[in-house]
Amino acid sequence: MLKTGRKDRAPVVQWERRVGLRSDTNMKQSMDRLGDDLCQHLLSYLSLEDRFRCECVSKQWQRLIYTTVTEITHEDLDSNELTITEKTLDSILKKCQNVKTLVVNRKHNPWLDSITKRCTHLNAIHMTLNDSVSVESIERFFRHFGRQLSAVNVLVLTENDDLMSTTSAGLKRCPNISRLIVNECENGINVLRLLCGDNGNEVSFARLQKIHIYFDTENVNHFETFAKSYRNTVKAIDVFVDDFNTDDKCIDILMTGLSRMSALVDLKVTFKPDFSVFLNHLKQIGVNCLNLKSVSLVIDIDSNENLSELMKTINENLKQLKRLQISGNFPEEFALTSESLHRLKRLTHLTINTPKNDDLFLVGIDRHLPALQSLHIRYAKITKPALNSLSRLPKLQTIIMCDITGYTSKTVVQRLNDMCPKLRSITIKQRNPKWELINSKLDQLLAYLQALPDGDGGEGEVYNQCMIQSDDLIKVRLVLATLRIKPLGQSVATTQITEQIQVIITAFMTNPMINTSANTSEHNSVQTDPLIIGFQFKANNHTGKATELSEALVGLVSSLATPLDQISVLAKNGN
Amino acid sequence: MNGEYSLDTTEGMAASGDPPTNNAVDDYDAEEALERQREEENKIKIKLKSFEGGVYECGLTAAKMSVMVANMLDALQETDLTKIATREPIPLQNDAVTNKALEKIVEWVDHHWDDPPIDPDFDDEKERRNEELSHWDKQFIDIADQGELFDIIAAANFMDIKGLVEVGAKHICNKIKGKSCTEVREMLKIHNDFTPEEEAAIHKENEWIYAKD
Repeated sequence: MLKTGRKDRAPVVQWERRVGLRSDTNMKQSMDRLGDDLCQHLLSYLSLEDRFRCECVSKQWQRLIYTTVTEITHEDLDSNELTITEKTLDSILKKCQNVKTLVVNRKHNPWLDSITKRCTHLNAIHMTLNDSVSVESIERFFRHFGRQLSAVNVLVLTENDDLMSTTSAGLKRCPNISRLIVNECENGINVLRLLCGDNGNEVSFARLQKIHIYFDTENVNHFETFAKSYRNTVKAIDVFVDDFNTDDKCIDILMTGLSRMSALVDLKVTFKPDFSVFLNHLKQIGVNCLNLKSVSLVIDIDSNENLSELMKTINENLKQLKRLQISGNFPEEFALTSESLHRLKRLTHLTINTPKNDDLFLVGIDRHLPALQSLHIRYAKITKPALNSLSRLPKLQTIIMCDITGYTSKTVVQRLNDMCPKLRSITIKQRNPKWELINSKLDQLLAYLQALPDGDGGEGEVYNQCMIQSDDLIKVRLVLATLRIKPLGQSVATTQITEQIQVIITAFMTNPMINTSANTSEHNSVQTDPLIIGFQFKANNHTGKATELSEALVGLVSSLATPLDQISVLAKNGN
Repeated sequence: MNGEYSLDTTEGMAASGDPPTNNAVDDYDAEEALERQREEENKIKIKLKSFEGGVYECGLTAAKMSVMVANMLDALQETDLTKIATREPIPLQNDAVTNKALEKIVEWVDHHWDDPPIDPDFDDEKERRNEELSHWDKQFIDIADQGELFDIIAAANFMDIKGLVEVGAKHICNKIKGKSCTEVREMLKIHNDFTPEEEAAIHKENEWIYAKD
């Protein structure tokens, strides 16, 4: 328990001195009355930026404000256009002595040495390997931290063999790793080899709990060893199964291996090959992996029969699930009810596509999935019976809805707010139907990405408008587009993607609708945030492409910086 | 959507060779039963007494959200719950637990006692920390009198109600967000014990943060 002022030993003197200076009522209004422990805890919710700004509030704050910084991510550093130099990062690390986790991107590579020098408590790192990082820095980093690292995430964006072999060797110096994520790429770091040793008979990381695996025929033997050696320790696996370089036999080995992992709690499978191969094995996993609590599938389902087969398999064999996420393409027209999952009585988190223009899935959801705390759906018509069913879910805390029809977004937010006192957040993402040109251009880009040859495809999520419940206001965030592109393959023409994005941005800027902020017309009390464009990449296989594209996009977006600022001003004026 | 596993190095290895003991159906029934028991217990009202002497009634399950109260009740080793209800009020011996603060605290635990518990299978702590306050909590904690706000936070801390301390912390940090040192001092009535020279020195060290202004 944290102690309050009076019981603390250290601050007593200060406290009494201040009481002498000021009246009791004033003291009551002052935060100075709170002791070190409580004050430190309260300040632990500040952002990194706020902490640096507030260091000079008082000596108490200076003493406490950095002690609770245990994680620094590139988002903390990149927010609000702060210019961070090598020297700045060094001074940040010097003040934040208790940092355990660092998530830095390739911009921060030059600081690897500074990290090695300053972060005595580091146990988790997310690093990017590209040509700006030196072999010596990597070597020094792993030599220094080896045994204390428990989580390592490496994003390889280089084809430099020395760098990769140094990193592989470095990782072998880290016997205590419990979480390992390395993106796979040709001739890169082979995760399974790392796990099982070159001969395939070692257990390199006895404490391993979480791992990402890229699976193909070349990995089969190592995978078998991995599944055998780590079956009692690994709790979370994220496996990507491509449809080239895999055949039924090796998928059989993969799935049988997975079903032997008795400690498995959390399984994520991205499955590209033929769907029917998958179903039988899923059943096997459900029967064998009794600790399994979370399943996430990224899978394209082409027919209604396959969809109902999948639901049936899950419903009958994965009754213990608490979290289920199914993303990927569903058939154009499909029927799906919440009853099809009615045995999953413990399900707390669900992400799924629901039938378009229909409230089929939502009506009755309170009877079928009574434990739901978080629901993320795409499509569905929101009707009165649908809202009633949702409001009868006693534990529902979070709702995310995309591309809904029926009631307007505003009505949905307001009704749910009134009907569900336990609800913590509602987010509604919608395309703005008035932006026809932009929407059609975005569709073109998505179609282009999806039509790329096997293994090179991209996927995207595109919304113009995102509504977030907050206070009594409904906050509307204007989002031009959020694109997730993965994985990137050889046939992706970087220039074509950037050109298309440029066309979209231009169309957006010249759209007369933007003046009236079409999205705000529905609401009176609306805050509009500046235009946000998000791009996220997941690199795979042909890393050169990812670098090329991300650099091209960074160039594009920064060259458009001024016009984009103007748009954000316009959007605010339109309010 | 999945929680990340703990990054703590101290975390032990999963015991190897343990047979899976989990039976989903039994677990579910047990959880259901526990939930019903919590509901029943909350119908029993106990009395809490503020530092100023005011007595407030509170459901038993809700009151147990205070780890301190829960420990005190455990120490009684009383199996007959109705006897607990007729007991003397539990005194809360800290000057932050004013009548007003205790009234608000009872209101808060009464709203939150049936919140779903933290799921030990997933480590969602980071998400919870970063989550914005709910509509209800925002309205609850938006208190005009700062003295009263600090009373509630200090009292919740004394009573060890983690969720409520967190609501207070997020509220205060939201208010601090983006403000300058001087504004923060002004708002939270904090005494500046730095000399101007010391303050200037810190300002210089953290220059990068002001670069964009």
